[in-house]
Amino acid sequence: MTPPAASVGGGLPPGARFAGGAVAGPPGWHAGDAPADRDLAQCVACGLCLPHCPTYRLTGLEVASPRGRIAAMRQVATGRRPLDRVFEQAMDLCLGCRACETACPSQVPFGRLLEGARAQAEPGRAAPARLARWIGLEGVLGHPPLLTGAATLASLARPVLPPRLRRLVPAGRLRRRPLAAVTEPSGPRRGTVAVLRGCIQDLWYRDVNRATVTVLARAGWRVVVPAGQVCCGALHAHYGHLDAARRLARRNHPVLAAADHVVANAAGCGAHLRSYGELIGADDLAARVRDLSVFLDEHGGPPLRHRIERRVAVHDACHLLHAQRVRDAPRRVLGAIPGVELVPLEEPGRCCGAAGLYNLLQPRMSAALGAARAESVDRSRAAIVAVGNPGCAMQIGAQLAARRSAVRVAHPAELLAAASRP
Amino acid sequence: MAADPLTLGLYARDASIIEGGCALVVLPSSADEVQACVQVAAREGLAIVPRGSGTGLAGGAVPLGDALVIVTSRMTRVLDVRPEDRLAWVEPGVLNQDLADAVRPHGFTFAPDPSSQQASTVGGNVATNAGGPHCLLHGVTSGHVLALDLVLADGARVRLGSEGPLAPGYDLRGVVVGSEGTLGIVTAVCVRLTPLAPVVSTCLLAFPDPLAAARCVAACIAQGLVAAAMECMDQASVRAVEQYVHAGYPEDAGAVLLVELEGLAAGVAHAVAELGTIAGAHGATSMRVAADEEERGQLWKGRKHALGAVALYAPHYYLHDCVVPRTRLPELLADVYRIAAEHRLLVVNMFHAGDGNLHPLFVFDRGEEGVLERVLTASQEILERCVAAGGVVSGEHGIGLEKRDFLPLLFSAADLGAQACVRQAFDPDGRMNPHKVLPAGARCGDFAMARGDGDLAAAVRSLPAGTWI
Amino acid sequence: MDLTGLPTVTPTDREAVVRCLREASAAHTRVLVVGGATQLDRGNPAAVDLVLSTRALDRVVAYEPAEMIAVVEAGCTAAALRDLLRPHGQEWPVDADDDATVGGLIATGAAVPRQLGVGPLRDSVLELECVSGDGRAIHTGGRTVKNVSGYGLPRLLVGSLGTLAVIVQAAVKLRPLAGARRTLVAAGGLPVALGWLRSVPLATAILVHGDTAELRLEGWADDVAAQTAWARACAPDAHVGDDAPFPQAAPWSHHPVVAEMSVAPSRLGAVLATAGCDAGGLVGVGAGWAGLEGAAALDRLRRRVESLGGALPVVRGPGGLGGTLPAPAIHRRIKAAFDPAGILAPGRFWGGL
Repeated sequence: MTPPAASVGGGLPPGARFAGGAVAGPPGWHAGDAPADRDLAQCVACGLCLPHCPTYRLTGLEVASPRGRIAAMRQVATGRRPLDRVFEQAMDLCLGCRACETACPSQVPFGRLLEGARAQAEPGRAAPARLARWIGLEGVLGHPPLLTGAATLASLARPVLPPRLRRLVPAGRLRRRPLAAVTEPSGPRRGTVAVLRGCIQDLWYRDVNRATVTVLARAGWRVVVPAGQVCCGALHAHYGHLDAARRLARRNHPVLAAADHVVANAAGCGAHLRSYGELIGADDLAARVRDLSVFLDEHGGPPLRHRIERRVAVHDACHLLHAQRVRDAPRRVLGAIPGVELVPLEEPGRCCGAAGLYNLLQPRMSAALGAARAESVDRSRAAIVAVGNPGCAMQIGAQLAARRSAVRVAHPAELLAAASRP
Repeated sequence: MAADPLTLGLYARDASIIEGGCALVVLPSSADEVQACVQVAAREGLAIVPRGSGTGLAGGAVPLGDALVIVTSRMTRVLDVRPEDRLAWVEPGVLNQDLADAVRPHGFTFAPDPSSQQASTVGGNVATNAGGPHCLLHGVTSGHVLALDLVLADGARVRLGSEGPLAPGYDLRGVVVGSEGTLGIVTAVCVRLTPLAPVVSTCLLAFPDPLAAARCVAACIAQGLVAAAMECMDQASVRAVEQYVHAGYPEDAGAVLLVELEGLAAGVAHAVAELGTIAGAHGATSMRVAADEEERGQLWKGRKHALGAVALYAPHYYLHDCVVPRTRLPELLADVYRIAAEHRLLVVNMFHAGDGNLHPLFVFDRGEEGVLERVLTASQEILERCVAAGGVVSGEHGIGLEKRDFLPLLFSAADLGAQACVRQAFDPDGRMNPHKVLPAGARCGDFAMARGDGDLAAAVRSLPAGTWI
Repeated sequence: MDLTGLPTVTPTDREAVVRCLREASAAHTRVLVVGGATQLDRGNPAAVDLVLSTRALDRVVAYEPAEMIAVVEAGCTAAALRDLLRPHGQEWPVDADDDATVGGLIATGAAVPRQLGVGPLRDSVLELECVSGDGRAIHTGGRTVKNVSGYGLPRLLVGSLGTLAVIVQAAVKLRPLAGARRTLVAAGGLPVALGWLRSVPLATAILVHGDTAELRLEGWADDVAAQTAWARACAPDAHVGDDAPFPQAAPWSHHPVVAEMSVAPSRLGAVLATAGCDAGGLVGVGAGWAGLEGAAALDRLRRRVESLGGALPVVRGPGGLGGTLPAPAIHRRIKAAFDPAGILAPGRFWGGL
């Protein structure tokens, strides 16, 4: 054994310190909702989330990664950095797709952290941005008549909108015929299912809602569309308007809680309803909410009488795959349709870039992600891409149109309704 | 390029528990841009810290002071896949898993598979000479890198190694692998591709305690059973993993051993049988062979996510990496548990048993008074025990900032001086990732000879009788 | 290289090597390190004053079969090591002449015929004890199969041709001897060899020389049998030799000049076509040997190999190493640090170091 060259052990060189201990000052958070220290501490900075984050993949920037965003929140939480415009931008670039949650072995509740961070970023925004968000979220989305008005305007204005926006607004007239309040099953009744109508879904995709009601009724359920329901509040929560989100949740809670089951056919709404427990303590309701595909998978679907001879690709909505951890249910349900051949998409689980209002707020990043997703849909050589979320349907539809692709976007409910025709 | 305080703060640390700071972060997207950045740094006298995904565990990518951090995360092109030459050229920011995915259709894989493989870059794997479970059979990264394009500290570019088995000159390629970014920045890597095994069998064995598992591993090696991977996890790690992955590990077992055998059908069957016999003789309570690719994937997912999953116990961890001769594994493992108990610490063990590569993992809460000091003391005791047993202080994570002051346990001043000379030959000004790898005291000068006055005749006379022919 | 008439020193321990090199450095005595003298011609011609033979450093330092690592002194011969390991069912898979020494093999970094299956020699060297040109004992690496504790200096010394330091002791990684070993020989040359590379998944080696192809199979008996059947699909008339040596023939070895070839694997065919019939190449590896008549043939082949990005050092006869050194300044600084007086075989190495 040779003699040691220098003292063994020793410390770190100047400028280095052990991470995690230093608190520079009081937390930089405002009063109100904020990322919880407990949640922040759960991240061990291993970096396994990086490759799963769509914005990191595109930019290579730590600040555009989940680990980086958490580190940024920690900088504010430990008083090292102020709550400023840079922080706000870092939080805004996140899609909120929560792919990082699926990848995270430490089970960091990233979605919850992001909502807290965005609630913090909100008061610091420039006045016009704040006003636009307020009008959009608290004004329009919360009030069905205003929303209908806005949608009508958008439809009428479609021909004169810039191409990027035009593609996002589905063509054709808005459906006026309302959904039936109660639909009785054709055969014996298995129970009552309440369907969440949704906002965007009900305005632009009312046919999807109608198909959902039809499919559930054909599967033997008494289907109700409760009248008093309002927007679920998902977008409000994702964009930091947590108080508004709670108000909406409290209104929906008694309206929906009466049914045996609650079914959502929009992944984003379903995921949010399932978080009502965390949000307002409505665990009873949250536990009974299912995405349509999961509900049919658990309880059995309608009798399938017609063949659909098509190659079908399933695009996983982030709020189904990552937020609700559902992957197989839509594939099983659609795969049961005679004639359907399921084909895989490259990069399964990758966000399409719609992400709520993201395609309006971060158009460049959103377009890059959407184009990539549409390209993989095209390459799959599917005839139909099944999408269980209106935002994704708009985004993928727009991007497919831009590519002049022949692939058709459909909601699983529409395919099931077609296959279960009497 | 980024210089705002928030962004700089994000590059102040990697996946280790050490934190520093930097002056500037750049994200070049080509070798030319890397060279331009390095030239600027050379002109300004800035220290340079290369960084990939920042998944390193030894602080190798932690910048200090006014450093320029050069991040390779935008250099993600697979440049050329050449199955007929069993090689591929890639940029350093390509993720290990993406490379494996890119070459799989050709019937090949990139053998190094560190637990961070889905996130870590090939450049980072080169920097740390990364290992991983399957290095037991296929060897570590140095055996899978044929050539490298390097930008030196002065901005010069050089290609080391060759696409063939032999390259003129000293094996500088071999020295750069594992040098933790202290010799230059790699801008392209020529990796050797390994054919995919025709048949793979993954076995999960349960043992009453980790020592029994370790003894089984030593017996397998002694009897010449060649496994592709032999991974051990103790009960605490199994429970953490099951919370996250539901891999179907037996939570009541004291330890599990994940053994992978590869080859042709008949040989693999023989090996599985032999493994069963040896394991049975060493107290294994059950053995399960993965029935299909999905089950295999689940078993491996459990192992590869074990590190993050321990957050179940406490928010902070300190992961160690040390290697001992394989016959000494049971004894060292017992020491690890004893040392942890003496310092009132929770230790979780998940490790590359077949290589003798231990990964004691301390789990703690920084909020607890004095806990970090206890962790560091216990860590030092473990390293000292490993070295005393004939082991080394790092098997695959590297030295970085974390362990440089432990190198004197292994090397004399002259030994370290020789290493410092090699570093100085590449980077005379010492601007490439300074303060990393070698202890503060190691200098090339320590290696310079204190020359005697004698002549050859005197030397010859001083030789023992009988040494002349 | 002719060593006739040169004084030879044969130290019996590391301290003696240290003393010898200190004195030699002080006196500027040029030293050639020699092990089994099997590869003296590898390297550029170098005038020396003294031969340092490692043959008396031939002890086995540590061998624990359960570790699959052997630690031996540099002068331990390949034959002695083989005899030590065989009873324990293990080998150091370098396929060297009996007289070659462990230190010499490491210092030359010679090509390994079975490299396709067992990997290159450099990957099996775990720890080296050596003495620098100015007489400093240096310990590099460690006795574990995995090690990233500091720079990989063992890799620097592999193939350094005794120009940086004298290797006095090495720890090498072993592998179990295969239960079944078989060599298949068939006519058909490169096409058959390439067919085997595609269809025999666990080939330990595939050699082609002239119109002959040789396939080495090692492993479980059942696997060897299965692969023999697959190999026969490419070459129905292949002759099977159980426990036969590999390679079966080395036609290059009968020539006055033997050069070691190294190119990217797919270029092997092009090189063999230039090298003539007494050349052999390892398919899937890109290494090989060419038997040549003289300087003209060597020049022609060397130009061809180097134009394909390869290297062609002569291992027997005149001709030196050829090639150009990358990063010469780094090489010079390393050489100067390890051998400041420049006494270790000056000029022998690539680039005249």
